[in-house]
Amino acid sequence: MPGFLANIDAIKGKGVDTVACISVNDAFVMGAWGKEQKTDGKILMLADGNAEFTKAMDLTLDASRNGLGTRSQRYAMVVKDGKIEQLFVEKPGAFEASTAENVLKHL
Amino acid sequence: MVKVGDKVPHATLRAMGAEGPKPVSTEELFAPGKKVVAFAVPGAFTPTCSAKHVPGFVSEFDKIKAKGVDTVACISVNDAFVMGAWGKDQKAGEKVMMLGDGNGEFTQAMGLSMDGSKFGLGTRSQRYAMIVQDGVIKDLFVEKPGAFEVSAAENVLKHL
Repeated sequence: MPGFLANIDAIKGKGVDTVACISVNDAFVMGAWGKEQKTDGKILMLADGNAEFTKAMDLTLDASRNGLGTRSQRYAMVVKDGKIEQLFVEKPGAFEASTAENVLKHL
Repeated sequence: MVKVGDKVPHATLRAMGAEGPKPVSTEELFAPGKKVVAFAVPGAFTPTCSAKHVPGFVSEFDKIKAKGVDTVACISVNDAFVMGAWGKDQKAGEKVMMLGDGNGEFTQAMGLSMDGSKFGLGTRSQRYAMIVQDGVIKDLFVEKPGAFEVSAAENVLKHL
């Protein structure tokens, strides 16, 4: 999250209209998290509370061992005209491909 | 649904600790010799809960303790990270133990699940409170959908 916040101007500079963060949490939690992270309207904080989107993306993750239930894998994507142009899915536990810095390189 | 006189079912809840989430079993929470007030909410950071439910238990905490209660716990189908952040936000501090039932296992075992998928909340917990002594449910106050009366700290206090 802080990575996308720090790089928001550079990302926008590449012609990106919207930067959105999606998580299997509800809108109340996403709103509170956005406040805490001071996203300040720069990042659209979106909840997928029923995991419908994440299931449709086929990117769910069984985190019940850690008391998290069914969640989303960590990934980033670049979408243009509703079509996925780039998809960066992390290996379990990794945080490389989906970082703002890496996404920026591919814009 | 569980009823008065039943033993609290087995499940593992999670609390946010300094080192991250830590498991809290119901056997540990509702151990023999302990008197516990537990209340459950549909979701952290949701309006009714934030505005009334948790603050009620925080402000009535001393009176509840004075009735011989060892622990006051708040349970929600949220993860320990969310419960920890919400506890901070609500200044629940050392008073109310904020417990995540992230898999909904405890809530299902209690028979008190609620389908919140119409609101993008997935499966959650009904709003309720209970008084547990030696692991046995002594009083159970389950709210009607949308209501906030019987599970309030003030009402629980009257039954202690």
